[in-house]
Amino acid sequence: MMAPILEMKGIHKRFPGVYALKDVSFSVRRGSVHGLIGENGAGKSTLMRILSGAHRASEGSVAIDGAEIDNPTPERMLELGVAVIYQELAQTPHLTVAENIFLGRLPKNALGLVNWRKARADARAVLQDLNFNVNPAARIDKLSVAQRQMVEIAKAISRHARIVVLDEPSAVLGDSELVNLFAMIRRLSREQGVSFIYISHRLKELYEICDDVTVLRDGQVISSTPIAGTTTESLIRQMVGREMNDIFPERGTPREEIRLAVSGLNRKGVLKDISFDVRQGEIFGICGLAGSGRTEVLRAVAGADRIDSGEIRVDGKALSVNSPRTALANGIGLLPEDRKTEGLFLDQSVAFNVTISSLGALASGGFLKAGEERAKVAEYIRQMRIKTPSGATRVRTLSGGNQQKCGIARQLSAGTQILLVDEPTRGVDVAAKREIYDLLVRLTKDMGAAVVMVSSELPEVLGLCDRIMVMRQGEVSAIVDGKSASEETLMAHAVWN
Amino acid sequence: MADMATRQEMGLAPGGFSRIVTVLQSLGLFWVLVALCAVAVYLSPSFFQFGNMMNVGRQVALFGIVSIGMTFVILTRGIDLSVGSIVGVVAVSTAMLLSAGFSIPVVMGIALVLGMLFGAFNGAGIVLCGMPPFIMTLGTLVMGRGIAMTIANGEPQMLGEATDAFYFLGGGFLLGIPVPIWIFAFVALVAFVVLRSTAFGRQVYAVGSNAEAARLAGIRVGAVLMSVYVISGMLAAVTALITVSRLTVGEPTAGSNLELEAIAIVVIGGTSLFGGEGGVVGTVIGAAIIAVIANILNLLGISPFTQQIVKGAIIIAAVMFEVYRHRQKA
Repeated sequence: MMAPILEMKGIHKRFPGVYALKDVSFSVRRGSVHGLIGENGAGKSTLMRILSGAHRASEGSVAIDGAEIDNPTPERMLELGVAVIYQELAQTPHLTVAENIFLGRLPKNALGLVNWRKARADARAVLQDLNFNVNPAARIDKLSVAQRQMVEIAKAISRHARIVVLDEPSAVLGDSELVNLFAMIRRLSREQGVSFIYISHRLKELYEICDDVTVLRDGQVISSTPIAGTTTESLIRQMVGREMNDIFPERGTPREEIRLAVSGLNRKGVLKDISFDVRQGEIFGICGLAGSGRTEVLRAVAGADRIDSGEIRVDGKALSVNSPRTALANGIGLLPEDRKTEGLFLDQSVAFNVTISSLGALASGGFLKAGEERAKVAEYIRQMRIKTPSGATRVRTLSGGNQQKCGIARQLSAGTQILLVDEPTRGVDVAAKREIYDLLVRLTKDMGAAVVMVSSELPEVLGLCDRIMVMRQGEVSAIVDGKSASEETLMAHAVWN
Repeated sequence: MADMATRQEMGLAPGGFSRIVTVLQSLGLFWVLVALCAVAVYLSPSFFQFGNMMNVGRQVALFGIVSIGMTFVILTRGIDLSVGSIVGVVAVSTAMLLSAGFSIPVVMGIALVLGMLFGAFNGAGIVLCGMPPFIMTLGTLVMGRGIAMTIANGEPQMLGEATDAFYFLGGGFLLGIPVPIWIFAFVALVAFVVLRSTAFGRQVYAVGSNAEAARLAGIRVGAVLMSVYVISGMLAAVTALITVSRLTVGEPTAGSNLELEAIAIVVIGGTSLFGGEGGVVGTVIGAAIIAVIANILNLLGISPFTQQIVKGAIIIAAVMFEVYRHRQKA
């Protein structure tokens, strides 16, 4: 048998105060797709940073193709064919696709100037080879996140990467794009012997694409086996260290009263005649492919985007929602898709983030009542089990799940009665997902709120929602009952009528 | 101790004096200032003499007031290059109104409103037209100086009969301390409280940290931006009043390059040019550091030209430190 393409042995990594990796051994077979899973903070990122040369291991060795690397700098690892594609892409937004692919090694002509024609042609060849439908002359900032990811993969392949690490690609890709990505991974691994390390929180995907799977927990390897012998349940058990039979909490029954009624919502080129209503105590799901207008519906209702026409009623009263401010004043709150750029103030404290939308209630004569604020924040931290050293901690340092809880706490604090959540569990580990589900259910069951949830994770939509609206190309394709629907029916509505 | 621990645990860290001390310590700036004072005393024992201290204090006050307005602006991730020119316009207007016989309170009121109008003009360009603050306020900088020159016909304006009565504001003493220092202390205290303990203060930080998140959180981003430029314009007008009073003349060139001093002070004071981080305490210490360094150089008899070189080097060092800190964080 051939030596594995990658062999990491006895890796230890100690940070000041944190023992991040303990004796981790991890090897990847040539031409295989290796799933790497674990809760946030389990050590996946640290391990991958050691592989990419960004971090130095405290102990242990890394060997590629049987040869041990004694000086693993980022440049050296890149040369050896290691490419890490992070969730948050490191691209130059104002440059074109071709420039990004060939950044630092653009083809030159006889005069030493950049040969743009060749650069574009080469880029087109690489993209076509991968079956990616992206224009090499397009600027990066005009592309969707999915397309940017493709560009990043094309860049890796054009550099003859032998080990490609994909960090949660499905978190930003729609279903059809994911299908393309998987086809590409299969082709590259089988035909060109490229090995992939695939990090994901969505276990179902692993069964579609991976040959092997390694589970990390608390900085240690719990298991590393061919995926064929495992089950979702066994993997979850290994990840969290306990049984999670039912990840979705018990739901209440929605009442008859309609809290939010949306009718005839139009926005040129984006949304067409969207109508739906949400009852008290209901969790209303919205799904559809990426670009189908899911997020745009939420943003329109929350006053984040302008609409051309349409009516939004809360408790029967017609509103003219023209800014997030008026939406909030009427009890409509949005938990945005990208918590880091639209949701949170990352460099401010937990307390700051929680109370920023309810300062009016905490102030008298414009002055904040510090004691009251502290007490309120402490109460939310306790109630929502936000894992943070204190209310004064910077939100940036918290895990994804706890950041998301801060966002929800802000909405509760602002008295939101109609909570619009966009991909609430993206980039969040299994345990935190469950806590977020609990919170959403508690909101509807105990507090009479209505929740509208956009998610590209169909099991989550099916597990939580009373009714589900499927969108297709900016229109409502169907509104189905959550209990009787299946992933297949949802997909069918999302793709065609 | 137990009380401290619970306070920290509950949220916003300790209150009152202990809070101020932790802020100072965390900035580390305070010790820089102490060290500079030690150097000053070593070089020239006359540093701590009352007269010299009051001179330093006057300079701190003059630059400090504008710098506090600048702190608000920079916290929102903006910049206000027009403050120096606003000082010029307000200075000549004040002098001309006084010599025309308007009463001192009326003139002071008009001066403040004028400064605020300039701020509102900046704010309108930035908020309503989406101009980058750097360009908008650069335009106002150039235009403002032109306005000052035009209305004063390029000449210094005398105050006429009001000269003596008006002198108190910039040249007078209260309880043995120069009036401008009192004004600065008052402005700094109000600004500190506003930024620390009011809803508006929080919103300033929110807008500077992440303007889009602030909008989605229901904050009137435009109104906050407008307010900080108005505050900055108003404090420039206060500086103009003090300058005119002290010099007993309104010069159209008053306040030249003041914007650069103010930006340097704010940055040295640890307020991030990336927005959302910093505050008034740092700015006050920053103003003191700049003034003490200038004083040391003066006491040593170093030429004003060389002083500029030193000052420039300090600004670069301060920004380098800030960039380094920012990088470490990311």
